[in-house]
Amino acid sequence: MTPELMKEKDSCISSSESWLHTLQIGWAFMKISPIAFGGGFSMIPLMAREVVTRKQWMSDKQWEEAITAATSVPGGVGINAAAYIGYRLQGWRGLAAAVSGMIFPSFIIVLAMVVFFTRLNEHPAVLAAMKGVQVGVTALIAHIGARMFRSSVRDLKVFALFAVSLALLILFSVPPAYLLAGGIAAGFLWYALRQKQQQKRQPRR
Amino acid sequence: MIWLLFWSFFKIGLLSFGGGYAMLPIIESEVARYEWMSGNAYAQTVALVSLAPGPLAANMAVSVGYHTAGIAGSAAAMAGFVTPSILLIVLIVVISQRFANKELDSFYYGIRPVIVAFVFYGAFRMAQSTPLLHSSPADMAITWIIAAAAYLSFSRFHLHPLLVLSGSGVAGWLLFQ
Repeated sequence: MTPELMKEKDSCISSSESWLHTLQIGWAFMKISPIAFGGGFSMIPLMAREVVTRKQWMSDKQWEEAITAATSVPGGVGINAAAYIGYRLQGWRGLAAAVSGMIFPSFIIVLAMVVFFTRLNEHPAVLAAMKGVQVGVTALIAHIGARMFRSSVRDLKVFALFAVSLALLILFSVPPAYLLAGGIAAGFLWYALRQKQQQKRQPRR
Repeated sequence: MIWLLFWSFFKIGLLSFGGGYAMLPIIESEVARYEWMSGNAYAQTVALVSLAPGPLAANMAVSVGYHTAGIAGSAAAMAGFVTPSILLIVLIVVISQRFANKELDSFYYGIRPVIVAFVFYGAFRMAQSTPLLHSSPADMAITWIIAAAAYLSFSRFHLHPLLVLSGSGVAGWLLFQ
């Protein structure tokens, strides 16, 4: 995936300075957040529908840039996308509105669930049901992993890195941060090696 | 403690590539380091949070934060988690024209398989908290059937996660008592 970031000179797309627009941005994200189940990526089509199709705040191309940025930057995809869209629409104000809109409903819902659950979790029926949900979540995560595997792991080098990482995690509990660093290092190493090979084939005059 | 939560989730935010479930190992390693939650409590939290809508990682921050230090803790964890996102996104928008595409590609080439490994590791850790991996043969059989049914619901029938997870909950309620 080659990111094509920002051809426009201005970082702001929208020319509207109104506070109404700010509220609209916040509200748009408040609507999306409570219906996005199953992980951050499920929010992407919902956001596209709202921001590009319905409100027409962004073009398709700008939307692509948004998604590229959101998935390139660390952190939650949903939050990154909200931050990007908000910032491009109305600078820091838009960013604050978008991110708040995205977070606020979840904050309330999750708090309510956690508080409610801690009252109930001595109940054997609840524990049993929770165990069932844990099984379901295992399947969900496995499904997501399989999908990512099919789309990302396409050659032997990548598979080797995947297998080694997984083995290190399961067998030796290597801290994940080290594995990320290792992956980055491997990526740059392969890039450097490829550069060297290309230089050999095209000797300089 | 509040500051620790903020700072810890700030680090998590900085290291979390690849979307919701790929971050679980990183969150878990921080939780284990500071011993905020037992492994079992953590797995239950993940399951509970999976039922909730919205950004998974942020929701994890809220629930781990609450479990550790109440509402103030949840706010601190959430704030810590979103701060690097916000700063980095603005950075990207402002300096985007200076990016070298090739270098970014090689960055992702190396990181992507690691992220996929994280997701599978997350599944493994979650599986450990259930009767999937070490239990009586009868329990294991039942559990694997539920897991297979759930997996097919996702991959073959594309059912809504809330539906499948609720179904798993009902199955658990019926079969695990």
